[in-house]
Amino acid sequence: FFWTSMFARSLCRSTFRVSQASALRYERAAPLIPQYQQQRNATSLKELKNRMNTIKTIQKITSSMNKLATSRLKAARERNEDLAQPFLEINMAFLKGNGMEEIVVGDEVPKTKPKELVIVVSTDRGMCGATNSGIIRNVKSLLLANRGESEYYLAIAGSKAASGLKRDFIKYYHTNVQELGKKKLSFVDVEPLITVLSEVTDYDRLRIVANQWESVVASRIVHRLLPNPKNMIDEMKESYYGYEYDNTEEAELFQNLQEHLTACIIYGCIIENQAVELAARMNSMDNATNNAGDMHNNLSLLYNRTRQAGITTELSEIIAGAASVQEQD
Amino acid sequence: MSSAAASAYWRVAGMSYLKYANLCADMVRAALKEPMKSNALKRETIFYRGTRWTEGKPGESVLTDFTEAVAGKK
Repeated sequence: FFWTSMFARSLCRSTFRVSQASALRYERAAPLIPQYQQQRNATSLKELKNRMNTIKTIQKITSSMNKLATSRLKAARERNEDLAQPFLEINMAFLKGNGMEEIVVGDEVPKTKPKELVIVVSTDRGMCGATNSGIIRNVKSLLLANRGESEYYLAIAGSKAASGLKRDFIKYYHTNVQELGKKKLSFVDVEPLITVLSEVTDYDRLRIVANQWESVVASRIVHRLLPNPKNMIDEMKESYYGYEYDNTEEAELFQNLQEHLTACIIYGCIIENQAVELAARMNSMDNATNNAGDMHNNLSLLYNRTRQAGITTELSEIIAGAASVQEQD
Repeated sequence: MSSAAASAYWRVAGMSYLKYANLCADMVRAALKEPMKSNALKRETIFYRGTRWTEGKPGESVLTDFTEAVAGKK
């Protein structure tokens, strides 16, 4: 299955349809034999047939993945709108207006503080377009740009980002949580991602990197920034004075608040990511199915032409032979 | 008034706020009556596989799987 999945991955990356020219490229692909000597024999026909069958199988696989993703997408979108968005809005409202908000990282990579905790949200399964690769590239560019100046701790949700960032940043790894959402995601499941907050207490900023749902065909990556609870009063001046609280144990209050805020935001991010993943998988599998269909059609035309050319050659040989025998008589 | 470094009992015991809040939620769910109780217990499933990394080396990968309520079980 590995080979077919590699092939399907390359299919879903190609966004243009296979042209006649590339089908002809296959015709000339028999290497080391000059074109006038290429024989349209049974072997190459069989190879063509094999390739066509493989492509048909891959088309079935991508089509079924497409249908599966489409059927799950509706429920995931509803969960996102009814559950995740309120969690995110209410909790980000407390942080907004103080630079602690969502920033979309474009071409300009931001400078990070000297010690940052980075929580990355990704998926476990692939074939979902740019969902995971975008996140990995984003985090990589951020960490590499600030390589000498900052120290990081990475808590990663999902196995894709964990393997994608392993090569360069394995020394920053703190936690990796996988198989989230295999059974229905509950609020308790985000707890292991938050343990980094209680173990590393002298960080400057907490950064959550996740996909944000824009539409069925589009998503973008946002960074949500939270302060260290010890600095909350300094960093949150604008919104701080809008709230009343009991002054008795201030430090602990903000520590608790920080944990709760982070958990709510990550919970919302993971649910949103599930919807983004399904939409991306639906789109990419749809493209892959169409591409596979085009390739199959082109190959089938080539196969028939080849077969008929072989028959014509045989016929003309027989006729020429018969004619020469007749002449001799 | 307690001393400046006073903490809640659960913080002293090593629990994070999340653990404490989730335990409280479990208690509340256990105190419900039927049919709300069975509806709420469905929300209590915990399922994830966590790996703690130290110095670039992964630790044990621990699967946490609670498909039923833990608190309030007789």
